[in-house]
Amino acid sequence: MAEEAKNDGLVHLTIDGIPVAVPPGTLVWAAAKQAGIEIPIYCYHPKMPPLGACRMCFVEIEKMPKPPQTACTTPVSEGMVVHTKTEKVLKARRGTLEFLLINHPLDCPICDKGGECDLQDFTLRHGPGATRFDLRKRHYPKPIPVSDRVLLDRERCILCQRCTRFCSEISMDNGLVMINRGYRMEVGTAPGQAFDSIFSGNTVEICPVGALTSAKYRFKARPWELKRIPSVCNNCSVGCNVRIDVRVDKIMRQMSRCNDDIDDGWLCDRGRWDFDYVNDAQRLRTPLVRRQPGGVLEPAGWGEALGMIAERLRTIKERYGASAIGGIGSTRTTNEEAYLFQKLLREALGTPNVDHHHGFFPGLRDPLTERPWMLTTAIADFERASHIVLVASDPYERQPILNLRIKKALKAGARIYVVNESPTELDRLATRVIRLPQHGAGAAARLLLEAALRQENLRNPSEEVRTRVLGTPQETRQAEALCGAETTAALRELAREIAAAPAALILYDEMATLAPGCANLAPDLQALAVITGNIDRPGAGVGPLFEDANSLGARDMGLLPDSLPGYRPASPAGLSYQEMLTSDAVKALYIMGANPARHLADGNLRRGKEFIVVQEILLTESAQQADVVLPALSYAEKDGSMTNVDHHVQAIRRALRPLPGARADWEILMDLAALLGHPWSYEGPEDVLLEIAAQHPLYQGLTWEGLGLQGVRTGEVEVAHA
Amino acid sequence: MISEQAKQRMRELAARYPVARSAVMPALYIAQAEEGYVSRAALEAVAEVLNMTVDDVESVATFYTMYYQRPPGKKVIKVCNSISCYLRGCDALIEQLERRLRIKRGETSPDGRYTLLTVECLASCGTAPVLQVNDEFVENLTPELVDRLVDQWEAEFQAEGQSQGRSPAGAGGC
Repeated sequence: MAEEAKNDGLVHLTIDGIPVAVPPGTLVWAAAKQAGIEIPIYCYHPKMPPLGACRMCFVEIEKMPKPPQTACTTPVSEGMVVHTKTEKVLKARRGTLEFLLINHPLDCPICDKGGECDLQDFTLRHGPGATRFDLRKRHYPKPIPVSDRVLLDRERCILCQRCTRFCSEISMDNGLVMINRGYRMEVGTAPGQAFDSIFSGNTVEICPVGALTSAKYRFKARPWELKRIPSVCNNCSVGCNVRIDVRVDKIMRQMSRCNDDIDDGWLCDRGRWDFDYVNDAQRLRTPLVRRQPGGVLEPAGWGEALGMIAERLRTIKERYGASAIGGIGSTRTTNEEAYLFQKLLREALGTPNVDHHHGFFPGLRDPLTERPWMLTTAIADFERASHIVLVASDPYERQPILNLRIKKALKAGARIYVVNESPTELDRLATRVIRLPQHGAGAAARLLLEAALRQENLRNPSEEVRTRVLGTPQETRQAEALCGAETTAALRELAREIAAAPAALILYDEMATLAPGCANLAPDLQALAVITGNIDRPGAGVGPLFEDANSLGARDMGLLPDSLPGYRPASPAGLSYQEMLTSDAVKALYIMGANPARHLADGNLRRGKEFIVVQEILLTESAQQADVVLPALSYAEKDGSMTNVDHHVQAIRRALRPLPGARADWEILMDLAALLGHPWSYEGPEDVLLEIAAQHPLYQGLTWEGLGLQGVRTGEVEVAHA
Repeated sequence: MISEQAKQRMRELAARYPVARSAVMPALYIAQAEEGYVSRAALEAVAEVLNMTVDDVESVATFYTMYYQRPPGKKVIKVCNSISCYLRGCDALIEQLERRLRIKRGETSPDGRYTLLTVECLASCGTAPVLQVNDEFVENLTPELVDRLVDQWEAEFQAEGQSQGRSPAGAGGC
């Protein structure tokens, strides 16, 4: 039996008498963790390479010279015998803690970290009860701001270097560095330089003591008062997993909740701190109605507001026909709500006009692969790319955590190519930066595709693409003229690299497709990936980086004029977003969780409209122009699912008691459907998800319980069937 | 200001390494030679040439004691206090220098003439105790020799002041 166990490809060792089997290369610290044995650490962080600076993780390993050893820097070996509780080990840990506490101010009662502090906890469990140091402690002015968002207390710092190594190894911006050396060493920045990084909050989160604190959370709550609810960030399409920390029905902070497939354990500052709209005192708490045309918005009961909507929509439908009603959905509400919204419009009101604000993608599917428009690769697979080409996209600003994944790929050997109008944060690390003229992305995509088509030995030549592109040389000449000779030459060179790349990943921003001359951006880049064989291979891929938390879910759920849920063609097709906003034929607009006034030059939604309904959480520019405003709930106050940029379907969970007076979008839609003569019988979002799963190939088999804490990535299902 | 020639020398150095960052230390020396210490302009110039962040350069520049964070005096006196010099009585010599120059170790005199530093081994244990004045060795130090050295420096500054037709230079130095 012992022989059998040895052939499992694992390394076998004993820790405190407990046999452990782990993959080769595992560190003793991680092996002990697997066996349920705590070895205290400060400098080590599982997402960063070992350092061995803090001397806290001592263990004794038999037959190794000079005990104790550091568990976080020692890899396991076969037959190793580790002791974590010998007198030698305990003495060494006590010694380390006594040193760490020499200059520590022990201001735990007013420290934000108190209650969740590794220095506090490990001192209790492993430390000496008293100090022998009876001299004066060192003092520094404190705290000092290292940026508007992060403050540094050098007295509390134990110099573990987690924060500075995050900045050098993970975000690669060296925003925080170690200054000086020896006993003078401290965390800091260059003189007069702010720690200006979209990832700065991660250093606060991984700081094992209270040295780095967040301006937003300082002195707001004690950790033991917080209710912690697992959810998903609502601020961009990456869908980073978060823990919402709540005190008395207010969000205090959002912390990272590691999902290796999506966020890799990190959270950007937008995700961490941009939640003020949920706590906002100006939140809508009651329906508002405009009782006379041209009158003011006045508070009303739910009965009056919903009754008014049903009646007015019915009248408009009778007078002008159903297609005089248009529905504009949201990219930030749940899949279930998006689904019910289009169902209300299409089935209860009978109008084909359903859309939302999104990028421009011709047709429901890419004609070459027959796949819906979405990223063809998993975020986790970015790391396996050999070339990452960013066309008209800037993840640092728009989908920040993808920027970290790209940097991880860079460390694994990938080359980065930035093809953009304006400078980006990645330029500094890019192999090549190709600067485009204004609105030049469409031309750049065209030139890349055209040059790739001229390569010999294309992995996947397509006659269709060849005819389309090479048959219209005047478009290529226009693109050359727009880009100029130098940029054109650089793009052609890049196309040759892509054609020869072991695994190229081509990314573009969803919204870049809306710029003038960029209508073919998506299909041209998709075709580029297909003909060069950079699709469906590990690390290779192509696709849009979507804008919002449920941008892809909105498409999936059929918030598109030409698509029903599941990308089944809608017949007849309805009017598009822009058409609904500008066409006089549309007399009534039903808007859920969107602010289309932002997309009109004069911001006037009312032109030609007789009746406008807006479901919102705040009185936005669009809500101010509505005839009925219905107060809705934020992502933190309801359950449901969201679909992120690489098609992970994930659960958001109710973290706060719903704001009194407001209701979830799905509840509002259900009531309105009933008033319109379509009583739906869903008990809650989980029932709606089951209905979606029954008719949408990409959601097949999904259940609310099945989404679990880490969500489910679907999409491969349909790839297999395509 | 870091001159274009200095930046060019940094670029040439950087080109010798597989990774430009490897040239950070010699590049900092070039920048320091321009202004006497590592100024903000020096940090920025090195960061720009080597494609590093300013903070990253600052971290290196503050780690090593031979990069000056502030303008040093005209004469930088480095006295070895490692084991051989210590056993041969460097402590007393350092105190003597502190008295004569009227500054503590680590300080620069207000008139910008002297900076007194203690440093680790200067690799001249056979002639301990030793010091360096602007990188020139003075070996086999004795209290008498130290006195003579200080007298000599004072005389030099005196002569310099007279040749320029005015009293000894005010604070500021370089």
